[in-house]
Amino acid sequence: MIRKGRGMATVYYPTGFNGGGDPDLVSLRIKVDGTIDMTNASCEMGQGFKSVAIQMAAEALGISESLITIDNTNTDTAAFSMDTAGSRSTYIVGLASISAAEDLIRKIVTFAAGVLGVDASELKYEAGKVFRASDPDSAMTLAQIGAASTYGGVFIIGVGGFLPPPGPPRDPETGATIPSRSMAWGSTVVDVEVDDETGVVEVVNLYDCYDIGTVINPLMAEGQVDGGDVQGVGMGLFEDLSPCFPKNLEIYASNYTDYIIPTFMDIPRHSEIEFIQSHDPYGPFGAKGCGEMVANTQPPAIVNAIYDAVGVLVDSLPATPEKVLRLIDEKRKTG
Amino acid sequence: MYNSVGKRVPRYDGIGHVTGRTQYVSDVKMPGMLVCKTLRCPYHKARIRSIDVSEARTSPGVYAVITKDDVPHNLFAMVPDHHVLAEEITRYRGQNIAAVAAASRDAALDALARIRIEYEELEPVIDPEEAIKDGAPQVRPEGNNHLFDGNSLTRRIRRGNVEEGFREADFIVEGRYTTPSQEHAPLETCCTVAYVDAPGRLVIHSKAQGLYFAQGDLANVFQLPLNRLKFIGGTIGGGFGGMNSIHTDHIAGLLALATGRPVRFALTREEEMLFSTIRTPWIFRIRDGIRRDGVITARQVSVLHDCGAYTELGLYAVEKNANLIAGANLIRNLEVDSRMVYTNKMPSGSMRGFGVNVGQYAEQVQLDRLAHTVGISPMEIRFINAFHTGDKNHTGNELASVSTIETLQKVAAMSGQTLPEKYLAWSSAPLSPNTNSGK
Amino acid sequence: MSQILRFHLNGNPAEVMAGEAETLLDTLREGLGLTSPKCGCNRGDCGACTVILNGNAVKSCTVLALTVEGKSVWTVDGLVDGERAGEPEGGESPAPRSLSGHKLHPVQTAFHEYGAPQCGYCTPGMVMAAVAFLDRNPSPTEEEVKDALSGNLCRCGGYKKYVQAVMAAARGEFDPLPERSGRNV
Repeated sequence: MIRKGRGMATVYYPTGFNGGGDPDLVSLRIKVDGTIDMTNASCEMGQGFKSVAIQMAAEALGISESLITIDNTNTDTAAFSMDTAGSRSTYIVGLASISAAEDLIRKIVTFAAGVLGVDASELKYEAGKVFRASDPDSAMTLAQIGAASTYGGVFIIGVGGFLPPPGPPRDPETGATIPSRSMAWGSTVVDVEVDDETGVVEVVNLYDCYDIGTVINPLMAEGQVDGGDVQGVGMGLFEDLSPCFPKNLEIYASNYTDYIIPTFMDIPRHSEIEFIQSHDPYGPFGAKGCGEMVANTQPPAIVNAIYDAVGVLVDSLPATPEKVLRLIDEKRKTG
Repeated sequence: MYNSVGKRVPRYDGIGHVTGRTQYVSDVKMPGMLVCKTLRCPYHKARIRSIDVSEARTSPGVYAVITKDDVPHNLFAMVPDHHVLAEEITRYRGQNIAAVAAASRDAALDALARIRIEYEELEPVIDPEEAIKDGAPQVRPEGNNHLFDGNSLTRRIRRGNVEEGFREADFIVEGRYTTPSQEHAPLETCCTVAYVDAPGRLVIHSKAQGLYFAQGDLANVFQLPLNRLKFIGGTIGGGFGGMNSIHTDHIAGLLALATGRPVRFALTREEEMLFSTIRTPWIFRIRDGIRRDGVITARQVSVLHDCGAYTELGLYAVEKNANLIAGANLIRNLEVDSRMVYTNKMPSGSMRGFGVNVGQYAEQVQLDRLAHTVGISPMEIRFINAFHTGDKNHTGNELASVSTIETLQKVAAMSGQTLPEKYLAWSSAPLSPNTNSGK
Repeated sequence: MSQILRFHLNGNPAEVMAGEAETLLDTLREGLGLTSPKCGCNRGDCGACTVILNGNAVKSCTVLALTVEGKSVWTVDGLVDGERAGEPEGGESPAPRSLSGHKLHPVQTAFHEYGAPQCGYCTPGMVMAAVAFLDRNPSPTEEEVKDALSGNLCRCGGYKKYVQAVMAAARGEFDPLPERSGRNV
């Protein structure tokens, strides 16, 4: 018989390396035609790093993201990145981008002041233009600045970095420290159907609400959450490399047939995502980390929903049909 | 308010993805590129009595065969205790012992078959609860238990007074939870193409999630200054944390240096599943005290992390786990004791949510148990114990921009649940003594 | 023993040496230098190597190269370059273009606009599986899409947007689906 159940989970997740102290650098170089080359060596692995980094640099410079390209391709030309991990890239590269943009603007203004023969303090930068505050028509565009500086033998490159302040050393007795100043939050509700004759669990509905601060790119953030839902279902229901562990490791998955990751057929029949648009006081434009937290709520929510459906508590992941069925049998026997 | 921020800008390299033009490391081809294959230990633990690669070296099509003696500095990883190529005692099945660079895959496999090696199989320990016992087979010479701060078996969190908290409780609830081994399983397997460029620098096309991280780590292995070692990458076919560990860059690099030719080392799917770093198993025991009104008065957590054979990112995962294991609940009386133990299996890598999601599984299932025990709804218990802005979390971290309550309200609405009026009126704003439960 | 293999690749005649035990995937990638079919498992589990063979989506790692003698094979490369279904036209259309300036197949456009690909490694195979499916069933239900693509794994978990994108392509949200010219030879 198919039994329905509902479960939920609530989590929070730190942004960046545990304890801080993980810097990134960004450079923004103006080219002859006024377009901008951004560099930072974070890795694009599908999370949307390149898109999001460009959007934050574009915002900081007040220009269209189409004017910016990013080079993250190698350790010769791309500015230093500590790692792409710990839900850190949006946050730390974002703050480094803002710092690099400020530096670039400062240098552009100084250069324009020389060209225009005025004091830099008389100039304003806004949306890709430098102009005398008293005379907005006096503007120099980025294209003019790119050409005039390059052909004038002046290298204009904005550089910046960000270091999340290292937390105090962990107190060995109490564990007191500061893992991260910025925390993301989230809750998930899932509805499952449990077949109490086969132990098969299906995720029917999945509702996610996450606070990742300002969402820099909703398309990429939704992708992260969709992926989190899928990987969460995998962790909750399927994934186990060595099902006989700890007795032995001899039965061990070595391919996608034995190691079951979710397919199109395993995604929730219905899922919804909402973001609470809070503003993190430390993050770039109020953003927090997103990547990892959004894969955390699903396994416990699913296990809680199984309990709601059939009254058994799966205390070891994953909730395979065999495990669920054994628990149901046990429950029947003990009444 | 913003121009670019908040826009649904399509993926920067999306056109490359949908047209098949995006180039991954596994697509890199170079003229004269050699193929690397490695000899892997077939036992969970063994002593290598002898190894003779002389016949393999003269095998047709072979350009180089290397063992630990050919590695300038045979230790790598975030905590640099992992051997590039096995020393006398191997620690996990599939550990790399020797590597071959040959003109073709078949030639490389033929050469591996010509390596003369004599093993003495040793008794391994697989079960972390066995490995912590006195007299358990030793995984590493320093002992199986990691010593935190150089001297402590446990990594502790202490807050308030748990004995008082348990006395205050109406119910005490205990649970034990375990999580299994998981593989990142990105569709692109680990792959490296390494070569020496015209000025004599070692260039590595890498799947690393941190190019500079890998560069720094391997500069030490190769004993090269950073300006003689270049990493190329930045677009990979899935990582999920797995590419924070080095699986192929080190060996491909060594073989490129040894042969002066481009070398490609790609793991097969089977190798990736069996032998790369994983999310290793965890065991959690949680003991909670809870009042009838749903307030958690005390929590004791003991954690055992099975780190596998080398530290890799296991220690980092334990730290992160300990900090977050008490969950998004204000718990005033808390004790966390985490242990990390080495066993004869693949080392603990980082994997999305690592250290944290495993603990949150245990914590969130336990939380529902508490709710059932006192007869309140899973929703209510989360409202009642939620953090508020300005609260300090379990490590003394003052929390800014908290929104547990808001996410609960929203997710309730999304899923068509009607919340009691009082919970709809709550917020995560800093608590004054007269609001919310007044806990 | 290698022998000469002759077939049609993306509408053009192709000739390449292939061994008896060589898979079509290896021939495409190694022999012909096409890197769009990806190798994810080499045993038919993941679908990253999906190509269209005589109108059917197949996993090229499970097809022996020599068995495609005289047959028609399409990879994602052929959707824009070989077939040239959409020649460059006046620069007015905001629709995304291929790197060579050609209009994309509606499936490709939809994948891009819906943000379906994440790391992108499964994408070329996913495109070909979806194109072959829509050739056969141009007005599918969501369940039919999931079923048709269920042999293609995406570890990033972008399935939901892939389904939405295929549905959008089917209802002509970007461009009408082209006739299945060529790919069904």
